[in-house]
Amino acid sequence: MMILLLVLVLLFALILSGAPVYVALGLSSLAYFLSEGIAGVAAAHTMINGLDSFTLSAIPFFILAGHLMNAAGFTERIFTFARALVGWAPGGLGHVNIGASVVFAGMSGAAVADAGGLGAVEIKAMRDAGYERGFSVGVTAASSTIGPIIPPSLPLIVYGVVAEVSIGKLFAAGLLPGLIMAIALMVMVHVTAVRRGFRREAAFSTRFALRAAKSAILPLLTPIIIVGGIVCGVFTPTEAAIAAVAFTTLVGCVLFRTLRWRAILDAMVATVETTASVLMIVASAALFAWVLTANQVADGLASGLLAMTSDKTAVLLLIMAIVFVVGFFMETIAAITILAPLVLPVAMAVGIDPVHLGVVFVLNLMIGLLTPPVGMVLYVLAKVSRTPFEECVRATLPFLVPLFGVLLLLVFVPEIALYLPGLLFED
Amino acid sequence: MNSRPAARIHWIDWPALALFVALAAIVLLQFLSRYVLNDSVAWTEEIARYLLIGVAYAGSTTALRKGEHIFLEVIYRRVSLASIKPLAIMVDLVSVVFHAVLTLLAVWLSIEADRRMISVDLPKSIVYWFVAAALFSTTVVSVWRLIQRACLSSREILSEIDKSAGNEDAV
Repeated sequence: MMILLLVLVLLFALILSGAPVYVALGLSSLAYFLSEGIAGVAAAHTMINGLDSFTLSAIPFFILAGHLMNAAGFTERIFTFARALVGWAPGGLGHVNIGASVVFAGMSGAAVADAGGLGAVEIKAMRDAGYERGFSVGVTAASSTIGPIIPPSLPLIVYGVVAEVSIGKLFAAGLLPGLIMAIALMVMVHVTAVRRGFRREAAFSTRFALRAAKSAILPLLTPIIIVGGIVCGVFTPTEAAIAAVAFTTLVGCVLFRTLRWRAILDAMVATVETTASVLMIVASAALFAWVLTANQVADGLASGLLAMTSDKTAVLLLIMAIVFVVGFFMETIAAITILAPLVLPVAMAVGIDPVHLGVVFVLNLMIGLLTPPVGMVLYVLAKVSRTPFEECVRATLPFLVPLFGVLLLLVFVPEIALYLPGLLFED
Repeated sequence: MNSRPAARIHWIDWPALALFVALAAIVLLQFLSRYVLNDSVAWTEEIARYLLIGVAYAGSTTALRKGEHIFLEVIYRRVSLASIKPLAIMVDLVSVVFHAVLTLLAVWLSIEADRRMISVDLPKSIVYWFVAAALFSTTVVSVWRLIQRACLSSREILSEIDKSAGNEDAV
């Protein structure tokens, strides 16, 4: 137990001193192996085979699809379409921002990437239209967290692999909560816009809407192929991902003529880097999870939680409190790989559905992306909007209220997540 | 996703790229064989899994080379300028030690592994040897990075961190 404590101290010291997260996780686990005299070859075996999963191979293709969609100009077309559709409302571009994020969420599986790609487009448009910087950053940050809730979702894939839950069910479970998040954020934008008297943009124009719809019709097909295909069980996640890559490449190269060979090569290089940085965290987090399992941390946690209460909702709230605290300090993928095996046994013991747990788990960690010190989305937005980090934190704070609201709603009403999977999947 | 300026591709990046293209081809083949031929090719799934492991470990070399691995940068904005360089050097040393140890462990695993692949008659140690080689090149890159950053001033290190910040497409 003493050694485990030292390992934890080493882990956090390494993470805080700015070592790559996977190095911190891997090295502190190796220190445990060494001090306990366990053969290190087992550590190498765990780290390498931690990635031995066909489902994980969906990850690089969803990432590649996202890069290609940006390079092919899908992002701008979707934004313009959303602008034509909801831009006339008070706080118009705030709603556009959220709407575009919902569509993009159906094509991409990552929040930080959404903030970097679509976020840059959104913030520029809002700046040009004269919106104050803080409001633009806040809406963009909050709406980017919809990405990993609406399928496809990289965090849900990792959760599904770790928890051995069907990715199809998890994806179906994320759809309604993601839409509710969007509605909650739109209410927030509306209230802010009315209270602060934001001026309206040009009125709704059918001609503009039709033209934008025509230019966005192919990009809009992408989320339908991906989400529809996976949720209805036509595609496995990996197949949907490769289909999205093929579709985007085809449209980008042949129809839009916006994709050049060099852009495809750049997208592939970026994809390899991102894939490696995500999967190396999965690998060393698997090793760290092994250390925790060897120390029966899950059993300790289970008996500790169950000593307090055995009520399903109360246990889920306690788990969410743990996830929230960890999410404050730890990167999303690492938090899922380490925490999911720890909290699953106790969750199952009190009858929490692992699919339901997955969605609230990921939503909770997404809120962690908006809080310092690890708030990755904030760092990215601070950079793309050239806003000081502290101002980004302050601007995003009010938008945490609707997100927390949705999180609590999901905790208390599991049916929101479980309705669709129950409808679509037999068992 | 960030639309980045055209990045220079170093020769050390090519193995990961090649494996990635192979992975894409195999997954596409599986997809087509299931939908068009209505009969999936048996070996694709297993080989795809091994290729994914290869992409992760070989790609890790590229990610380290470009400083794209996910790390917490908040400390570099909180400490005094003078402590930035010692901190960065310590982190690079930790990274060298970690990758060197892991390389040795992977070599050990490759020697000990006696299982064969399931759908193809090849030793599974091929995968482990490849990972060991990738880890070795990551170790070399981490030594190179250590030397490179040792030659920079604290201010230069900070501006480099600033440049890479927000480039990581974290999840």
